[in-house]
Amino acid sequence: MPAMLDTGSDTGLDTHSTDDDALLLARFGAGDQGAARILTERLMPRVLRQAWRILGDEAEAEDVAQDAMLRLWRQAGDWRAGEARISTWLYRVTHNLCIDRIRKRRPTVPIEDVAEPPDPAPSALERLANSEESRALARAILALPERQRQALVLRHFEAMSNPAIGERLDCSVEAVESLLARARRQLTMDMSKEREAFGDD
Amino acid sequence: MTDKAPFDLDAALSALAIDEQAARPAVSESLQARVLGDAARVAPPSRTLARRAVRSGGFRLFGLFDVWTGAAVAAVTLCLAIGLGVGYRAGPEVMGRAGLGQAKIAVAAEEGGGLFLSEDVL
Repeated sequence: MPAMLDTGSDTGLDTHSTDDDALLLARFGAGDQGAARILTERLMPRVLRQAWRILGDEAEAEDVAQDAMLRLWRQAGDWRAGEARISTWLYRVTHNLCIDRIRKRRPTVPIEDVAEPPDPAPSALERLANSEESRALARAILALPERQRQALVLRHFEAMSNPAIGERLDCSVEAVESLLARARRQLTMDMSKEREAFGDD
Repeated sequence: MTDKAPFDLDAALSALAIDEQAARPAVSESLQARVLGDAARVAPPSRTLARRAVRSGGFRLFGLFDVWTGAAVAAVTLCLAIGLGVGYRAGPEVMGRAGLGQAKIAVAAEEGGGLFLSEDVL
């Protein structure tokens, strides 16, 4: 299972407004290469991290990030300010590009030729976790429904505010609160079961 | 039976987030160069108007015209100035025929010929 955590914000503490991004893209659309440099510095780290979390491979994540940015450059001339936020648009594009890559990874061989499936490889998050409890939590997070997982990761790993998460996931603040509450409830339940099964040491 | 401490989800999430942050990839210089290279490749042309090329053998005068266009503009301006001067000296009769309040051009053949403009456009 290649799944990593799927999120895509920088720190959540945005030091620039999304209007600035739209303005910069418009400047790039008018031929200003300096605007492209600023946009790259602003947007690339979060795009790269998002791809890395989903794909679990840095080289592949770089390819996806480059592709996502290329699509942004191509949109510059047609971008309609106010209709969509660039960060939200880029988040979706990156997500879709990653999903496409994951689909292409799957071998297309006849079912009778497929050997016994190996044990699922640990996710990047599991690999980097420094304790058994953290690894168990990582597995529990990856088992959450996608929207709950996205909301939880944006909140706890990217330190985004609920309104910012709502903007990113295209839902209301109340919906974000509900997603987070359900995710936390599920994680608490899963981790309690885990502790009961393996003891508390 | 041992007492187990309650599971602290926030503490566990914080610990995992710290591990995750330490492993995050950074944007390499080569990736940034590739992205900016793409931007340069697909960039729309600048909307700044391109300056017309200077004709062979000419040069740009005051940043506006090449020398031949400048010479033509100067000649036309000189002819107009001469015509206006002659018209002014021809007096009110000719100016009246040229029409007041409008920029009309009259040919005053009887007064000796020449182009005249009404006084209000002088």
